[in-house]
Parts: sequence; structure tokens; C-alpha cells
Amino acid sequence: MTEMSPEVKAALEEQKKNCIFCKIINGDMPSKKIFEDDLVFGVLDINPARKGHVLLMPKEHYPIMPFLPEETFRRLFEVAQTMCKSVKKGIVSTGSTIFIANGFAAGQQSQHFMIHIIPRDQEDNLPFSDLAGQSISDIAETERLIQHNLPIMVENHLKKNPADWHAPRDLEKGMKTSIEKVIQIVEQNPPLKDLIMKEPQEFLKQARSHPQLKPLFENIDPFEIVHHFNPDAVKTVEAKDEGFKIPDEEEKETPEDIEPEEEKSDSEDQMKNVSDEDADLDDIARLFK
Amino acid sequence: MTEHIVYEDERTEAVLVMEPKVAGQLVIRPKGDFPDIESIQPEMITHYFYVASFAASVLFEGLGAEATNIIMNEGAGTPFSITVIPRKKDDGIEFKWEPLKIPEEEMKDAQQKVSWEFMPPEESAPENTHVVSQEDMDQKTEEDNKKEEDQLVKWYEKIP
Repeated sequence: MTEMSPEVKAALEEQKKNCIFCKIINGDMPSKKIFEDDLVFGVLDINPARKGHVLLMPKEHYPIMPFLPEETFRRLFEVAQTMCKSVKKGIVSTGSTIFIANGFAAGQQSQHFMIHIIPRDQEDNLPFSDLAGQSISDIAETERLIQHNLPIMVENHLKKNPADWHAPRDLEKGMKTSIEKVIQIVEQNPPLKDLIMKEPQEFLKQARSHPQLKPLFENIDPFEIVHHFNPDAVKTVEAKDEGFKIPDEEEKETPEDIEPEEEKSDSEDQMKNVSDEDADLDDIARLFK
Repeated sequence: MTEHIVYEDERTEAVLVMEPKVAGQLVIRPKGDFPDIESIQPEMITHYFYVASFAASVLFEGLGAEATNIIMNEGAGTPFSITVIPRKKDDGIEFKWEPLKIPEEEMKDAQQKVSWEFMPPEESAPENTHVVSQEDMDQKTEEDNKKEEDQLVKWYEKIP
């Protein structure tokens, strides 16, 4: 997935020379081999958490997960699925865990990327099941950051590797749909439409600062909405992106979620979408009462 | 409680965990009810791990995580899900286990059982997919011989 620079490639060559797992894969060191094909290699861990603990790794030396080429990534997890079944059946367990440490701080001990496949039972006291911690409240920033980046990355990946279950989403087109949807929302909310007609400046301010409205205008410029309903106001409100200051946020209310806009294809999804929309409309309507 | 969905497609959703070990921890789960990994199409397993891997990259590049753990649990009373945890040095989190001391015989038993489940011996092709190679066999015999010898030495030592 990540392109390697010549420097990185050279460093990897150096790592490979001292890599125990490269030696095991080459047969220069003994191991309890479970599986091998042209890309993937599986052995029993000599420091197992349970009997049947398997290490599955790419045969080529990659230090972390983002370096794996597509084909290797795909094969590794296809084999992993079957391996989970196999450890459960072979060792007679009711479940399994795949454990990955990406980087030293996460407990990665070898420079050869690998995944741990461990047979599991409910009462085995291994540390992989209790993943809960303290309750947190303020994650708006984190949420926005992931919400913005993750869909783009996955969508780009799916564009390169089309899947028959997935209707490709054009981010540009998605934006247009959002504008149309906001227009629709405004049409159905007379107080909101009123605000745009009478106090466009106030609407812009609200659109950019109000915790509930702000997510709605993450991808679209509220100025376009003003333009749609009140073209005359264009002269009176400040022009798009010109010295418009975002007012200080006054987060008196807890921000509620507004479902991200999405293009849905089949009718079932569309029906679901209608109810989501109603929820949005209610929220917005409440704001302007 | 409202769910904080950070990614969604036809088959997947990724949700921020509200009671995490570390802020930014998220869970990737299939849409639909999948009690175990067997009930999921192989193609989808790969997709879920791709989403996990991209999520790890976002945590790494966007949130300043120094490393990430990706943990899939399934079965044993838990439906299939993948958790991604952003990590930093000395963050007080440890996924360590006390390595079991499993006797050689037991290890061989595990090797055979797991590899036979993975690829039943009758189906395995002689080339590159071999479960136990001739080399392994030779090694075993050597190990076995050595073990027998060791055993004998111990016996002799016991004789006054």
C-alpha cells in the first residue's frame, strides 16, 4: 500500500539479514511449520499464549502492515480466516483472536510483520477480550478527523479494487447531493428559510458555528445555500471565503449527531434514508423555533 | 447513547468506542449478525482488515499514535469484530501473555492437528503445500533420537 523509497528498501535489506523469521522461512532455522504457499508462511509460536498459537506472516520481509502489497495483504487474511477455523477445530476451542502489533510501542517484538492467531475460550484469561476502559466525552475533534479521512482512504482503495457489493461513491457527486438535500431541508423548514431570506448574515454565522448545523456544512459552503434562496442577498453578505471569520463556538448544548449524507442505491436503503432525514429535519426545525 | 460512526459502507461500519482504553480506539464490525468468522465471506474478511489498516494509518498520521494494535475477536461468546487501538510508548497498556511451556510432544500434536485441519492430508499436494516435509521428518527423527539418548543418560545417572 505504501510506496517504499530506495532508502527504506536499503534499510529493509539490512534488517532482512538479521531477521530470525526470514531464516525460518528460508529453512535456515528449524520451526513447527503449519502452512506455506508462495506468499504466506505459518508456524507455531514457540512462546505461545495457548496451545495451537500460530504466527502467520508474509514470506517477504515487511516491518509493518502498511508496507504489505495488495496481493500479499489479501492472501494473508484469506489464509488467516481458514487458520482461525483450523486452530479452533484442531485445538477444540470455541473462538479465536487475531492479534496484530504494528510498531514497537504496540508491543511488536520482531521486525518481520506477522499476525498472531490464537485459539480462545471464554475463561482463558488472555488480555485480548477486555478492551474497554474509561468513559470519555469529548471526542468531537477525533471523530471529525477520522470521519473525514477514513472514508476517502477506503473509497480510493475500493475504486482501485472494485467489489460487486459496493456501489462506488463519487465524492464530488456526493457533495452535490448534499447541497440538494440541504436545500430540501430548508424548503421544509419555513423558519430556516425565513432566516435566510431576512437575515442571511445571521444564517451564515449559524451555519458555520452552531454545533448542530456545522457538521451539515462540512462539505458545502453555506453561501451557496444563501445564493440559491436569496440571490439578492449575495451583494449584502460577505463574499465566499473572503475574510469570513468563524465566530467562537459556544457549545452550550451537547452536539447531537447528524447522520452523514450518503448516496444510497437500493430501495431498502432509501427507505432507511427517509427516516434518517426526518430525524435531521426535526433537529433543524427544533433549532429555529 | 448515540453511536459515533466514523465510516460506513454497504457491509461495514466503523464506530468510535466511548469507553476506550485510549481515545481514538475504534471498532470495525460487519453489518448483519455474524457470530463467528466462518459465517463471513472471505472477501469481506479482507475488506474489514483493510478498513482496520486504513483506520490505523489515520490514527498514526492524524492523531499522533506511535503504533497501533489491531485485535479481532470472534466466537467464545463474542460476535466477529475488529478493534483498532492507538498506542504510545509507556501508555500503560500491555497485551502480554505468560508464554506457556508446552512439551515437545504437545507442540508436535498441535502442529499436526492444526495443519491437518487447515489442509487434510489426503487433499494436500506433494509440492509446495506439504504439511510435513521430508526435511521436517528427518529433523524429528534426529530430535527423537537425541531425546531417547537423553532419557537413557538420565536412567544411567540414576543407577548407583
